[in-house]
Amino acid sequence: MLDKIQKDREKRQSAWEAVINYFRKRSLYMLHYCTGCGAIELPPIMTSRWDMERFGIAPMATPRQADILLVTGYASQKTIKRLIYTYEQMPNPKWVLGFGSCTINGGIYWDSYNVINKLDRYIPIDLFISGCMPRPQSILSAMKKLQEMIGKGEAKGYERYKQNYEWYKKNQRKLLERETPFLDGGEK
Amino acid sequence: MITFGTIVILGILISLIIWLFFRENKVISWILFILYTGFSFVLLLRLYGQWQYYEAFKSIIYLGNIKIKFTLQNNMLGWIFAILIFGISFFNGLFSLGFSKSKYSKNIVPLWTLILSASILILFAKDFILFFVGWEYLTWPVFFIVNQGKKKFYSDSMYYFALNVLGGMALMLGIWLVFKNTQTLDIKTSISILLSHKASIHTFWLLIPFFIAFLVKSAAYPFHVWAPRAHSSAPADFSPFISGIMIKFGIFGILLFIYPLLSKGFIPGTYHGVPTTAYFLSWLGIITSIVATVLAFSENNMKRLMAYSSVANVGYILTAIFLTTPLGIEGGIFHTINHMIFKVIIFITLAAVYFRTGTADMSKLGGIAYKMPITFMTFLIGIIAAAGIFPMNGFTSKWIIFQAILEKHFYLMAVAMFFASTGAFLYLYRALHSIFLGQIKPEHRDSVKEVPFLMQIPMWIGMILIISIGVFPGLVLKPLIPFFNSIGLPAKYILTSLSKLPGSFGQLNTLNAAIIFGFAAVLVTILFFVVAKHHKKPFMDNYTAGEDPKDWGVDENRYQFAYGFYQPFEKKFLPFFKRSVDMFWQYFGFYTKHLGEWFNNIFKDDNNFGYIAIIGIVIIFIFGGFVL
Amino acid sequence: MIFLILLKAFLITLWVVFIGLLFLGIGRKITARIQKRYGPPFYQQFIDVIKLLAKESIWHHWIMILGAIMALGGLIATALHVPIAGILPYDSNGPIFLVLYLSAIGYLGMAMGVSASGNPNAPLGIGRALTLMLGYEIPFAAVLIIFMGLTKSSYFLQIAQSQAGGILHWNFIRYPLAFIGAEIAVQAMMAEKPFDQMIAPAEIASGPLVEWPGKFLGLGMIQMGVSVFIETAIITNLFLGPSHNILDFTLKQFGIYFIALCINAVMPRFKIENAAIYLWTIPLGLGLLQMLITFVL
Repeated sequence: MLDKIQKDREKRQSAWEAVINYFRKRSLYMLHYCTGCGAIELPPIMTSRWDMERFGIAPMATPRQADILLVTGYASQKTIKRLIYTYEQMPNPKWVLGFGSCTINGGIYWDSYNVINKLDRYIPIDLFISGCMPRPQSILSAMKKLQEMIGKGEAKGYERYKQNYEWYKKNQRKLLERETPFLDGGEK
Repeated sequence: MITFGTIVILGILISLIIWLFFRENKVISWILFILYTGFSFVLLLRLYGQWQYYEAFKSIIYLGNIKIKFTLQNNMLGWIFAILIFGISFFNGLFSLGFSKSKYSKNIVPLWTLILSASILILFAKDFILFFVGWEYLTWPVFFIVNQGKKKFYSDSMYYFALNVLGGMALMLGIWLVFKNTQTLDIKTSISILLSHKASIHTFWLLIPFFIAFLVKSAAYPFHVWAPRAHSSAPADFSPFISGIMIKFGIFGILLFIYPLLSKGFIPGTYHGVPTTAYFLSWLGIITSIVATVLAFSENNMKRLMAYSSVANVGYILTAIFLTTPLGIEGGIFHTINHMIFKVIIFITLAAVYFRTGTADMSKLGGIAYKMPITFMTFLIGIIAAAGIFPMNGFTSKWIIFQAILEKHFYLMAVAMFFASTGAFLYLYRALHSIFLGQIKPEHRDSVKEVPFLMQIPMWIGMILIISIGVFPGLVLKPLIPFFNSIGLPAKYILTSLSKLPGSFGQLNTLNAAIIFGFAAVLVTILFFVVAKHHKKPFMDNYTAGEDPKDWGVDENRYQFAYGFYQPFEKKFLPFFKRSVDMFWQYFGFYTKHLGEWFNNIFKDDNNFGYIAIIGIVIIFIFGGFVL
Repeated sequence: MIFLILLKAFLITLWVVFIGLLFLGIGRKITARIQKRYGPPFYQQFIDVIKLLAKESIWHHWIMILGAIMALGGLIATALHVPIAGILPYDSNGPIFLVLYLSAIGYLGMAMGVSASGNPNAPLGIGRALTLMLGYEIPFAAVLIIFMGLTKSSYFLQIAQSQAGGILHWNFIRYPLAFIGAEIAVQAMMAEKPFDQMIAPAEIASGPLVEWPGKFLGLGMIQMGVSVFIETAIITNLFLGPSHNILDFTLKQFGIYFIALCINAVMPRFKIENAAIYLWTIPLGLGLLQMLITFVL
């Protein structure tokens, strides 16, 4: 009996979520964290050439209002701290787009002493866009894909972050509080 | 029962008793003050409606052949002022009783009771002698209170003293001129005798001393310079009295003596049905409010800022009164009463902030609202009223003033008044933000807490009064109907119900508007709490462009925007406003001092030329007087 | 009786919010088309508001909530006093001074709420907005006073009805200088370019709204829609003649908004003090000139 009530409630909630998800996917406010060279690909998407506003995606100035955190390019020892701070200031639900190969594996800077190779270990990334640089078309298709995922309720990076908070924090601490220099080698 | 006599004598007695026996004991002093004001309030309350009531005191003083009779005559205008003065002082006393625990408190009770008894003389005097006695008797104790016996306040309080003594002397000169022209000292009689004279431009000179006296007291341009200085140096719990009550005596004087003369065409020349002199004085009111508004933008001291706000409001009142129309008088008196209430409330909240923090510099404050919510709410309602925004009392009187200006078709004046009225938002928001909102300073985080309940009482009463008069303006205007009838207010401008504001260009039902506002607020509140959740975050978890404030040593002190608030505006316009009048009075003071030194030197000289010269001049004057 | 008034008020509120958000949405589309973009769908603003209301919010102090409620509540109450093709919840006739001073409580609420968020960018933006307000209120007041003087009433309804009798009696043809002055003032009132210093996303991180997340921003958006509605409705009542039905009125409103949008799309931004000086010279000069022509000559 209790199970049934529980199930009913979940069903109702998921129906509600589905409705809300429709609105969520059609209205995305984006905070672009322009760390590296990738930022140059954003103006064509925002302006007349590709016009992302037609999908309801608009740039925003502060993390408090943003839904998507767009990390364009590599994150370094210094920027990762700001990135985490900004991510944690965004209210739920929120998603992160990793932009370019650098966010996946360090890209061409993979052996640099201060580039973070796997960004996914520090903040939960919902979708990567591969390429160096990714073309505007691929960014747009990534956005469409993200919208699709949001609509289906698949993009749950923020919940992953909440569930595995200790793990993420451990990784972050390892990075931010390390005392030995990177040049000595070791995992980044 | 002798009401006025009792209040005056009791005031002097209590002052003496406190000064002799309880000088060190502030609590007993304030309790006596509260009892005195409360008792007087009740006594005065019984006099409503008895407008023929008077008290005559025998005297043995002769002026020429005339035996001076001291008569205190009850009158509507004086009564409404008196009731407000004693009511406000009563609640102010409650606040001060709590305030007396702080080290910033001074025992000003003996002087204050003297002032209150003097106010009775001013408000109910039937003749000029008593009026003048009350006037001087009001000026002096205030000087000692403002000064606080401290050297650092000397120059600030000197502005008050010099200008008000100038006003007092002007008043004496004026009274002498009136006496010379009419051979009577009775105010009402002298007005009717003056009016029976043939109007000529010379009568204008007769009124000049009175203008100076009353405009100085009400801190109008160009005499406004004393107001911010006196407010900032006065004890925090006395500032409400200066702003709320003392500057209103100037208004009272104008209503008592100048308005009846001007409105009956005492000075020839009219402009669109308004005496030309009054028209220019009306513009003087507009200039007062604009200058005060602009000067308030750059003020960092909260008491000075609010003092400028008072000056601006006096500007509105003067504008309305000098229209010399019944509707203008209605608006002016109504705004006087409303300003008394909300400005006293604002200064009381500032005193409460001062009580807890000990500073009046807005840049040293911030975030006080989070620790003192009641004080904050009171201040908020007070400034909404001061800005003349709708559900508060400031709006209702401003509405009538605008209607009075439009009734006379002075459209340019209305535009100029809009400027001052909109400018009020700027400095009031600045005060709201810098004192009460933003980041709270680390040193205030633990030490500041809400004031005790005793000090909250006046705030609660004030909030209730401000809102209820805002929604039901009839609460004030209805009891005043006999007075408005006596000045000939047309029937269409007299309130028909509690909540219907009269006006020349249309009426307003404040109750309906308030219901609509309440409805909208409830609707939005429901919407806000029905939709998604909200979580509380600490204040320093704030947008910092991705930087952790700790890394940069940024604390609450540095994350508060307090300096140069309207810097672009100040940069462009302030130099013009700041120079003109302040410089004039500084030079005035400078040369007066030199003149004094010159006279001083005459007497210090070894040869007795100075004495001989002075005595000679005096003798010439005396004989001249006989000859004339 | 009172229930009837409240029911009417509720329906008008829904209409005002609907039209306000619709205008904002269409405005985005038009701006996009001027910039040769495809642009979001016209109902985008509704999607944004619903999403924002469903989004989790953070707050720093209850004064923020009080401010948000005061802001929207004040503006809705204002909108309920502006006649929409003569329709009002009760027979207030649209008192002009009430509308001016009631909308101020909305702006004050907003200012208070954002100040309580503790971010210095917010009061910075508000300071700019208030300086701008000092600029545009004066020419706007001058224009209002011209029509108050002409009709000897301080009601919007009377001013609208005084223009009855064909397009040649409409005020924007009879008093063109006042119309241009009011248009410029309204441009500033809507904070459209060249008067958008208070928002300035790249400079002060969207100014007042810097710490307004989720439903606060949602309410803020509704408030923006309502204020666009009020401002266009005021101009429509003043200049564009009496309206026969709501549709007529709304189309006129949209015309006003369309002009503002077109100017917005092609203009750069004033400096703050320059904006105030500009507003005190050109529009105020036009207003005073019109006053001179109307009442003196």
